[in-house]
Amino acid sequence: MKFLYSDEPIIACSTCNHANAALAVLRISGFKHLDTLLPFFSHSGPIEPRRVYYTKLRSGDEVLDDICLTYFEGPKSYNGENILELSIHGNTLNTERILKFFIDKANCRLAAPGEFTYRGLKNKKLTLSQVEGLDLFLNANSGYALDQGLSLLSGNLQEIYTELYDLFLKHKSALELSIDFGDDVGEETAKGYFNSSLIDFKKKFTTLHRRVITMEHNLLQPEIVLAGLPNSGKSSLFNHLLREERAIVSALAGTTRDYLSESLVIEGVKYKLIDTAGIREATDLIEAEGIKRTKNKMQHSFFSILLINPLEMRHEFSDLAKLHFDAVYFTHKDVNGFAEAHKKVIKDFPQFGPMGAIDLLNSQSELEVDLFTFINKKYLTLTKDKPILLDRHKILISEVNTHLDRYVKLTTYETDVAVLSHELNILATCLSELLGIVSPDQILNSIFSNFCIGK
Amino acid sequence: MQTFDITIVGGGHAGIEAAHIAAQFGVSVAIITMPGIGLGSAPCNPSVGGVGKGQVVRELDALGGLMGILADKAGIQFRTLNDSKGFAVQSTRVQIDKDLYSQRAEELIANIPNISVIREKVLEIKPSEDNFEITTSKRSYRTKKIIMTVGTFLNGKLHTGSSQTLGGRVDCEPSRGLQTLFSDIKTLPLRFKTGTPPRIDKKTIDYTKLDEQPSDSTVRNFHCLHDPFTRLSEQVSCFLARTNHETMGIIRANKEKSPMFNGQIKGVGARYCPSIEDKAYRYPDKNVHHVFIEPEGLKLDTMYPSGISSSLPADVQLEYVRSIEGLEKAEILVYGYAVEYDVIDTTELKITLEHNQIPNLYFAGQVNGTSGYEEAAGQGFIAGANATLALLGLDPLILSRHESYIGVMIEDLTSNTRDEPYRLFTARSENRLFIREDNSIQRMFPYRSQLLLNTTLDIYQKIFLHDFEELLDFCDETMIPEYSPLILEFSGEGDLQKLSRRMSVTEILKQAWLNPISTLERVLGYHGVVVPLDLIRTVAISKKYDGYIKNSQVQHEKLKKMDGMKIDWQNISSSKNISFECRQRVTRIKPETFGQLKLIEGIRPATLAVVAAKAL
Repeated sequence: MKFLYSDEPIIACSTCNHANAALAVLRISGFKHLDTLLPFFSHSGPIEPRRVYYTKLRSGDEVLDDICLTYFEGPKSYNGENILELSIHGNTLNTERILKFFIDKANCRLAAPGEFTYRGLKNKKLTLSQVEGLDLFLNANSGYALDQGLSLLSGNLQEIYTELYDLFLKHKSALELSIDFGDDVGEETAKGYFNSSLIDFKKKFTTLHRRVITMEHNLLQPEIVLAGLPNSGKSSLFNHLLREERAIVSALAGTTRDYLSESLVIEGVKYKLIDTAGIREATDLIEAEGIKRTKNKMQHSFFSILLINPLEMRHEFSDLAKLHFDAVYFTHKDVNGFAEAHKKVIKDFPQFGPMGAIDLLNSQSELEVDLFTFINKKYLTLTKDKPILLDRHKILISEVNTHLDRYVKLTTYETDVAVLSHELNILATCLSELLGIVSPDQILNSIFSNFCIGK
Repeated sequence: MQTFDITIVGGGHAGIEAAHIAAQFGVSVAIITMPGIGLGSAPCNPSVGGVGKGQVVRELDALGGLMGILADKAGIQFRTLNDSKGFAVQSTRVQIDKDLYSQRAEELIANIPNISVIREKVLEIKPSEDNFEITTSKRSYRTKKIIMTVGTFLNGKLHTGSSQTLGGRVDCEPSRGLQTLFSDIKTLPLRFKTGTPPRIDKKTIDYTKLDEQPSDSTVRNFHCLHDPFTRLSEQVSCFLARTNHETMGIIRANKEKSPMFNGQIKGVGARYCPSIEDKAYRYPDKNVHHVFIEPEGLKLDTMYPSGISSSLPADVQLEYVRSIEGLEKAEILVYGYAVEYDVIDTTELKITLEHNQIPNLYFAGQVNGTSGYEEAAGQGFIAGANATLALLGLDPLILSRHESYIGVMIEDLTSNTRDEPYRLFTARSENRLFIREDNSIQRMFPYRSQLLLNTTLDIYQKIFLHDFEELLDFCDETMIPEYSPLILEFSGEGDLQKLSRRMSVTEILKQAWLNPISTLERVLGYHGVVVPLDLIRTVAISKKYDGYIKNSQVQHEKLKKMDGMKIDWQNISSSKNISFECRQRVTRIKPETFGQLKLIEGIRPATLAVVAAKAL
């Protein structure tokens, strides 16, 4: 219920920001003076209310986007506050980047659902009947399990939130236990419970956080990475999948020095297909850099494919096999001696992905079908929990993560329990937007039911 | 017929605070109390203060209450709880000589000319036009306002084993049920229960087998006008004993004889204050429990064994007590018992503690479902002050929950019904770094000065706060150069803790590894500035927490402003824009402020939003 008390500037994307579109509209509401925001725009000179200005949005010297801005001066605005409306390019990544920019640099807070409108109600610009579904959006904003809001989330995620809530309650109880009942349970017990409950909570939260971070990267623009030793046929597969001669294919190993990327659409989802440089112990500086980037790319990719030419194995291969791959293909099937070589290699190769032997020179449509089905399946599995991509959750989870890191660090040296509890309360406030409020009565209940308290 | 402005029914900790503050305004006050019980008596544990409670005693003291003065006068062992856990959660606890405490209370009240102490039993209270008629066993009185501080005496029933007697405490007559006194008063449908342990003859304990806990001479007295460290009574020790396998075995073997577990007692006890039976049956694997052996008085023969309250039959009590190491030859002088009593529904009270249905009637203390002398005293003060302020047509005294534990308690009580006795825990406060013992004067001064009493206390507080501000400025303005011997002295070990530049005293006080109090003492000594320790303490701690408190202050200011916003519950309960369920709850609790509305269970966010936006 933060927003009942808050009058700080808020920002949100007023158009849908979960799909790419030509334009997106961002609104910032509740800033005291326009002057505080002007340094972010290239426009010089006065800005009159209710006129559209074409300008550049910039972060220092870097131009973030070409935009149109309109200023609505309070109280003559939709909700009675100063509002700045920005029309930006509607790519989801761009939208997200600019939202983050204003949150970090302009002290804006991401608006809770319905908060713009609520301010209108507060400022008497709107009446209750105009604020349709007030109950709905407000209820989504508080209380355990966020009532409606959380039920929108798919099963697995809701479970994680519920578990996190319980683990947090346990940790908070442990801290309160040591303050209010230290005499009753003894220092050692209280301390042990404090430490173990923090480890449990941190562990669970880190899982969630990691998932947000990787999914953000992976699912907004999923990358399919092709990797393999030089001359293993990466470029051939790349071209084959794209059906065009994009990479330079030659019989000489080591032609692709950096990586190439192209868009590839499978079942309506747009992927970035990446052909990496051949991995080998390069002496060439440019190539060495390319290899480093390849390894990095693979680790962060959505789907990685390893290509192996069993006829040309080298010692670097063992290094490569340690990385994770979604699929492995054996190439050069058309070459003499493939069968024996393949047999030898496959023995000591871990079994994962659709492992097949392919002849890339002869177009094989089954390969494509298999691979595409496999990629699509992975995408669907991961996006089952799609609502986690909602900006509100993502930003909150990152915010909680920052507070949690600070808090965990503090616990290693701060002996003042009151200070720890103060920091934990800040974390709790932040967390309550995600999980609901942990009330003193719940904490006391948890203490009474788990410990023998009292004299 | 004798007439009073304000009459207090009950002379316990709530009653004497109410009477004392009311009398300060010059109105005529009566305390009607049971014959045979001294004022301010302590029927359970012989101590005042504790975690959270120590803060309440100091709040009361700064407001002009009695508890701190009495606890100092009767204090026979002083301790700081949570000593190693940080200044904000440190609390003072004082063991009191029960007899001395009550004697001092009697003397203090007797010296106030406009308080009449009437030792009679109340039989009937009848509201008439703009006053009440009180009939006691002897005569009748008229009064404009009544404050009920009747403790556990409403339909009180005592249990020791299968024997049951009516009454509020041992050796006392029962008082009439609340329902017969006031037919309109709503009590909670459930009864509360509390218990007390057997009292042991102090000559029959082998102290050599127990751990001794001596009094701590560095703990500051409660009352701000008392010399901080001069004790007003002889100091004695407490002792620590432990239950064992045999003790718990005896209790478990007699489960069917326990009134609490055989269905004889139906009242709800507090989970934070379990009887030894509770501990035995609920934690079958745990046999070692602490038993604090606390003296009840310098001249009294009894020791209070804290931790083994019980309503088992007398013979079982003696058997399990004697199974404890050091108590093998113990004799019991008074057996433990449990008491069941009625409590009123505190959601029917306003924040001033006046009853919603019956104007001019106030409730405070254990009858409101709280436990603890400190909680009772805090409410007594608020009820007494508000009854008087209302009588004089002045603004009510309402403490914010962001500034005091008393405020936390009263808001909690009036906003929700409780299903077990209510005790203050620091966990109930959202602003723990600020609600401390050391800064009680800063926190309470605005409220105290609102009473316009202008006593020695007020003058002291004004000077104290003036000096406080000056010392804060001194800390900000005094720079210590890097070559000063002080800097060398304050540098800790390791690179991070080196102070290698010119710093203000404020900056130095914030260093995590330094004790701010001794550091400031050292700095002042070096500069030849002489300042009382109380002042050093509160300035040093305030500076230490300054950053944390400032960070949350903006938020708290907003919260305080919003939560303090007066609301009209009738408007809410007649608004079509509020859900039916919320309207019902609002009509029942009748919240007066937004903060209170927020605390009501089951109030929907949309209701809060609409009320906050004033869009009813």
